[in-house]
Amino acid sequence: MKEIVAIALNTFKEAIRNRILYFILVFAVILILLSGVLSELTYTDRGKIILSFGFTAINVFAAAIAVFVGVSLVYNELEKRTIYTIVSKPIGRWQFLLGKYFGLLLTVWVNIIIMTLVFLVMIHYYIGMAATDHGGWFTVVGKAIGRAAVTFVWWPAFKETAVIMPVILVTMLEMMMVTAFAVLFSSFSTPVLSMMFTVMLFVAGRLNEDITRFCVTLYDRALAAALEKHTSIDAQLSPAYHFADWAAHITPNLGAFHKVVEQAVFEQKVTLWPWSIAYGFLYTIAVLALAIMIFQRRNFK
Amino acid sequence: MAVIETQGLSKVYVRDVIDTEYGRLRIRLTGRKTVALDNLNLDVNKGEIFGLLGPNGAGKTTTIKILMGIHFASSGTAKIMGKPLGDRAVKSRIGFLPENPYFYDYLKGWEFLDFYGQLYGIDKRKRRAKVEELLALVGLTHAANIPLRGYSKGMNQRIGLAQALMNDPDIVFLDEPQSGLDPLGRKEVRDLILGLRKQGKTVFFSSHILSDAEMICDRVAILFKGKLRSVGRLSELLSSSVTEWEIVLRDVDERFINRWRDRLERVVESEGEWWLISKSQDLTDAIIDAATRDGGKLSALTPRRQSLEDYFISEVKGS
Ligand SMILES: Nc1ncnc2c1ncn2[C@@H]1O[C@H](COP(=O)(O)OP(=O)(O)OP(=O)(O)O)[C@@H](O)[C@H]1O
Ligand SMILES: [Mg+2]
Repeated sequence: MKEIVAIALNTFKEAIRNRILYFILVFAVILILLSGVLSELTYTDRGKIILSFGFTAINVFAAAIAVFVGVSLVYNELEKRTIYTIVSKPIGRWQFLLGKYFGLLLTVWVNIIIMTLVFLVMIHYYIGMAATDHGGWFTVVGKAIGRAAVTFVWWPAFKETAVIMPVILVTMLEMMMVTAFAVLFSSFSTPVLSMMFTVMLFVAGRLNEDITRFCVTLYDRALAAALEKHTSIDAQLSPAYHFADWAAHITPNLGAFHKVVEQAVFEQKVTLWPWSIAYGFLYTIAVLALAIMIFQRRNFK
Repeated sequence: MAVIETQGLSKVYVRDVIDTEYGRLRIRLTGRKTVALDNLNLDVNKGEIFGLLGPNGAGKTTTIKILMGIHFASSGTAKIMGKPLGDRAVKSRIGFLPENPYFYDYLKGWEFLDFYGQLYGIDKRKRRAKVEELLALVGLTHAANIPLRGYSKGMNQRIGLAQALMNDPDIVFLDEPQSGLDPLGRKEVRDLILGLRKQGKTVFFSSHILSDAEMICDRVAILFKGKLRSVGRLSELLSSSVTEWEIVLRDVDERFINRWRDRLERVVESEGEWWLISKSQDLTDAIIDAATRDGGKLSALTPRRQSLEDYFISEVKGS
């Protein structure tokens, strides 16, 4: 356990000394701040627009960090042969891989937290400015920072921002899965391929429920045809169905995030389904187990 | 007692023969095999300095990589301290310096050693002291706060040596520890290795710098094209190959010398001394006997051994 922590902290150190991270983070912060300014141009539902934009920005940039920082993490160790001395130390390869995973996850989570704090300050700034006697720009910013900090600790402190932290929590869970994929691909392929695979899975994960729905449609159609022609249903199932069915099962279901955001924006409440949380954990464990299995018997360069 | 044993250790690398891309189409065919290591049987004893020697591509690094668990052997087995490879307890008792090592270049010198100390589960206070001690040992105290990115090749090699000693190991594996070092640095490494032996540690190192190996090794193994050519004490490998004796005589006259002249390799007179080169032990003994009987004096007798380099070349050529 101590070894995993040591490797995770070293990985975190590596990540935060990597320029690409700051590049992504600065870009994300600018975009979040910009969303507030842009929302002024719209007449209706200003709050909804800021919320959904902010959630999406945080989610996409967190995934970008997981992908850009994550895919080269394990690969670099092999390419630069830093792994040689690590392997000779009294730690297992699986501990090394888990250390890498947790270090990356820590990096992603810390960045989510930074983005969220910026997001909260911005929202409280706009709420403050909306008041008629706001007491000047300086006071509003000061109050916004204070309120953001309070919201971060006690989520339902203000009713306008009560939904934010639960959604962020779901984002963090989702990133747990995305990060596991980045580490899995990185453990056996090149950064460019890993990046493609991870992005593809991220997108497929978002579409997972649509794929499932598509499967159901195809199945219904096949069933109707089978009844009409008095054949077995298997004969009527097209290859497209089998492929979609397979894809729906293998890709992660990242739909929970979408549902939660929708609920948060339109109903101002968030329900955390225990089943979704358990699913996230189980899926992550399965992906990491696969990564370890591959990594355990690998010859290094 | 053997602390490192290998039995029939072999490694076959399979390489890509064709690996081309035509636009989106990638054709890849793996096939050509390299036998990097062929049925290696070795025993390294506790407390000795063991040199694994051989020309480029002989399989030295491959052997060490297998022992360190970086590569898996194609066949055969190996044991370190009587345990199969990969044993955790054993790993905590060994140190390893890879060939042309490369480390986490975003870490400062002390941070790097400290991190490796953590992997050995050494507690914080001990780690501090050990890091300081090792930085001093390898002469990098001044560079403790410089990120490894800014290290020169030799400094990198030195920090690599330091990390190999972080856990005060019983066995140290060094793959070409002297590469990238200047003459002074090479002497320092020799002294360091001798110092390790003095502490009762076993040192297993590979090299192709034979003069260095000759100076410090208790035993050597010579690898060539993946096969073990010979193994043994330097004195055993080379003593049978004493090729000539240099005899220096004083107080003998030319008539005495002329009696042996045509059986000698070379005869040189200089400042009242006769330098004779003899090619056989018997002749050497006979000359010394006769000379002392005639009232001459033996100033010096030097058996000229074949150097490790001569031996190495003859071994490698003979295959
Ligand atoms: N990863 C690899 N893939 C394919 N072939 C390899 C690989 N590593 C080594 N070889 C081949 O195995 C043989 C032995 O290589 P090895 O690195 O063990 O030699 P060495 O004795 O350490 O040489 P050097 O003195 O140059 O370091 C060489 O023919 C080399 O080409
Ligand atoms: Mg080598």
